[in-house]
Amino acid sequence: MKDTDVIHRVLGGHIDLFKLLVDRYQGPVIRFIQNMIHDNHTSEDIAQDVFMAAYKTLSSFDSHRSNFSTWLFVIARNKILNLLKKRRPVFTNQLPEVPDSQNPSDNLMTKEFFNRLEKILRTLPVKQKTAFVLAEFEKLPYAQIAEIEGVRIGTVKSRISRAKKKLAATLSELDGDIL
Amino acid sequence: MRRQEVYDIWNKAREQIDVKEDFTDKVMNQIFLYEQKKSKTFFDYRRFVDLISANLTAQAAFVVVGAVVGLTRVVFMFAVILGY
Repeated sequence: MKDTDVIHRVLGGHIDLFKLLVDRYQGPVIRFIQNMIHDNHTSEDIAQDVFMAAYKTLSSFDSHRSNFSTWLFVIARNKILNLLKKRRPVFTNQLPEVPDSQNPSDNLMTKEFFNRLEKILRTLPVKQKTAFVLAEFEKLPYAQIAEIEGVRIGTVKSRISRAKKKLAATLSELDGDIL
Repeated sequence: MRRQEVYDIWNKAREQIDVKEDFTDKVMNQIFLYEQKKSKTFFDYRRFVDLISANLTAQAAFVVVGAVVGLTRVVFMFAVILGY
């Protein structure tokens, strides 16, 4: 069933069908929040708030203006910005697992890379980070990111490119150091 | 290991997340609680608008009722003015 059909039926009184939308989009929404605030415990609570807010304002969703996932990401983005305004995030994310390698020094180097990349990601300005996370981890097209952010595609491209430059600089530093 | 490889592994790892199995249930419970609270109020304007906007027949009926009420008012006004 298409998102618009589900929404239509939920608004018509079939509340339980909203479950389909939650199942469909919980992954991308939680991942987006986690990658933005780096706090696994809070991410899920915010994601719940996002779906509640979406449910409460479902009648204002206009399928001619955007698709449901874009609309949901806008809600998530606004919730994240509000949270970041209120308080500095507590970083409780663990580093991603380093895949086993034959060479133990390879593992060490990879860990060091991950550490640096995480650090840079956390310190990126929020606008650059949002665009980068949506493009790199959510694999959203630039046009959709521009819609979510309410800016032009060119602005999105430049934000992503600035973020990537910072990450690339870190990688090249390490390249010279240990690889 | 090359730089690009490490970046790709990191990127892939960032895409992985664990969603708790009961996430959907939690959201749906909140929604049902919200609906329960709403149904306790005498007249829920938002729910009324939602129902109207979701149903084409209801929209048409709403417009017809509005038009009839409006016309009746106009006729009544004329009747009062003309002294019938």
